[in-house]
Amino acid sequence: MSKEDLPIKLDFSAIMASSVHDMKNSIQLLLGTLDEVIDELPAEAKSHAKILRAEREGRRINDQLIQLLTLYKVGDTQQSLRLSEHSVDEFFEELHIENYELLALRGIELSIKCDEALAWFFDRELLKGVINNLITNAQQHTKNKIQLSAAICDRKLLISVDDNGPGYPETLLKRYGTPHDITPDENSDESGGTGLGLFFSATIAHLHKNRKESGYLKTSNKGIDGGARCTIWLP
Amino acid sequence: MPLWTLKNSKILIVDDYVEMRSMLRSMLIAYGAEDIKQAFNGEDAVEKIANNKFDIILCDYNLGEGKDGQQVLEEAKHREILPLATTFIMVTAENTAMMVMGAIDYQPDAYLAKPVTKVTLQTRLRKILEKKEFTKKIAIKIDKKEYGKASKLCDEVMTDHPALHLELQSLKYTLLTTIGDHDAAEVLCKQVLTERDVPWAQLGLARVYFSQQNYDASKEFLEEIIADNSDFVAAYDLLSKTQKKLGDSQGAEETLAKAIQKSPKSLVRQRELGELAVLNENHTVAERACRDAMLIGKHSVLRKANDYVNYSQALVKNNKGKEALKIADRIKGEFKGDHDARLQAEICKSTVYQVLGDETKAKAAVDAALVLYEKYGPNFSSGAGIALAKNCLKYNKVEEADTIIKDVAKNNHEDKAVLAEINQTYEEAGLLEKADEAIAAAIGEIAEINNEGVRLINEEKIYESIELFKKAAKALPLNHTISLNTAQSYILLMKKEGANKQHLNEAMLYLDAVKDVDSVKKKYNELMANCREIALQTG
Repeated sequence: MSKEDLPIKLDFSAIMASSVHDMKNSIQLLLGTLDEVIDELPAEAKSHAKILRAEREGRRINDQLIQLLTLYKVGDTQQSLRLSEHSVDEFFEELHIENYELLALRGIELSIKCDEALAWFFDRELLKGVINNLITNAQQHTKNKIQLSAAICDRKLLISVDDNGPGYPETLLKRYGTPHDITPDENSDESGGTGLGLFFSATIAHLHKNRKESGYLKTSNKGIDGGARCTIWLP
Repeated sequence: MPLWTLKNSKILIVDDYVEMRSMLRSMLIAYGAEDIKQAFNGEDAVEKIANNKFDIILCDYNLGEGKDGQQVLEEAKHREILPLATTFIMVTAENTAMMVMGAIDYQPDAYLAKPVTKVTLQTRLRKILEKKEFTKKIAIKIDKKEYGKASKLCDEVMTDHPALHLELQSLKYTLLTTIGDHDAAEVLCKQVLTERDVPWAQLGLARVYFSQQNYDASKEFLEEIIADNSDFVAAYDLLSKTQKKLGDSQGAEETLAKAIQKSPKSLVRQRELGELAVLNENHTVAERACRDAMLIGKHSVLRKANDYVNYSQALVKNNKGKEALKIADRIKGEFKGDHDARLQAEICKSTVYQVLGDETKAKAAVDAALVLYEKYGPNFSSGAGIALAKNCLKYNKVEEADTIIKDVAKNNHEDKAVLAEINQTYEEAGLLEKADEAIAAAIGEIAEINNEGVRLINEEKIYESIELFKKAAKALPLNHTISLNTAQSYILLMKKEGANKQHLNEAMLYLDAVKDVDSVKKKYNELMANCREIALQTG
């Protein structure tokens, strides 16, 4: 049956929205139930690898869902930001609380470097998706350290996610080594979906605007001990 | 057990999904919460908000059938049953701004995206409540309508908590415009904008230009904002209003159509698009927008019978007479006990019958409307009154029309738009001279009452002045000046003879009648502040 033969016209964005609503509820219940299960466990079993893995995968589904929906909406030009001023320190604290336990289990230390008074304009939920995504990338390549840091430079907020792994391969350095280039690599063969993740992050950075300037993402190997560093610049 | 606790917080959870409610509930209990109520849909939520004073409300945006989370918030704020001290958090499945954008006057304290985990809930709640605590003294003043004092407190809190700087400036802007100090609001916005493009300050500055009637500046600035940020829906709304003021109703319609494309779920926006399309005689657009306004408004506190009337009229224009009648007939059932809505329904039906060529039924509907007017007049909106008068003139019921028009004129003697409509009504019937007569008579009569009242007050005959104004208010329940003067007389009496609960209640009652009228906001706030002071004395 061709598209024209369909009895009704499909409104894909409506279908997408209602499915996402359902899926989000399921993820909410999945993670919440897991939380409750953990609460009922004896202390020594709480950080059991299998439990933490279940939690991590649940969150990954959520991150992927956000990515998928956001990119779909950007393509459809429906995505708009909810820009407001947030304390960067508080934002980091939230990310830290949500991630450090899972990372610690894999022997990775997550540290934070940020001035307490630092505040900036961004879409909190979307940027959270971005940073979580970068942390996920980093944990696949790092030796044992990941650092989140923020500073203001040249009237922009820059947030960096550094690790002490082997650093980015040449292709990714080339692609995201200069700002403003946010075309996805159709032939990407990066493991773990790094290509799409970085593309998503760059897209979200680009949507942040101030005074006709757009944000951007930049990769380098100036991380810890020459490891990977991904920096988001927000005007 | 954490040091931070929700032990003494009264909490409401709103979600249509029972498992979700119980999950959120157990998360909150983990942080010491004991007093937790639940609501399973929007109507239930509004009722619980009306009957309780919550510290925290966690409300899902998507609530199935009926009101959604945004409409719950709108209704609670609109009915003034949500104290500023209450923290309202909207839980959303999607983090897109689409569904809620544009409702700039009805913003929650925070949005929380699903999945909400225990730790996120705790960190976010703690920060939000901390912030609320810092700004509590401002909230108290605002709840008491002492906006001037609240705005001064903003500066004080800003010094103590520099991190809240921008947020407090935004609040201060709102307070300044509420008390009508547009010059100070302008300075504030410009100051914020020297730092960076902050959306509320951009829109705020445009609003200042608009209220200063500097429409060219407003238009230019808004076009600039939109060129930079094509998703800024609230800017489109104001641009459309500005274009209308500049006489470009075609441009206004186009601008609003763009905003609707980006954010369709707004009742007010659809209503305005419908009205513009009617004005521009774009019947197809009018029909769709009026229909959407009616549908979106179904569960909203902001809906009006006029939304149904507009839709019905748009249908008639598109030769859909039968459907138009159906919509008109629905008004009575949808707005039970609302005389104004019933009157509008009858007139609407009459207009439809006229187009369908059924003069007998058209006339009968006008007669039915007149019966209602006889029974409940002059307590009708100016729109309903004028529409009825127009139809009376059509059927040569000049005397009835005159009576109604006089009532409308007296109830709205300072409202230029209404007076212009009166002019137009008589002009269409070729009786323009009657318009001047009716308006002059109305203005004269009210001026006379006011002068007499002021004379009595100057002679210290305050009881007599109260009696005079109360009599006038009974005859003209919708006249803002009379309502305010009645309240003021009571206040003067209490200043002279001391606070008195009964007099205070009377004063508040008359003030309540004008609480939503923008043109008298300044005077209203002033008298309200007086009442609060007196209330403190009565205890």
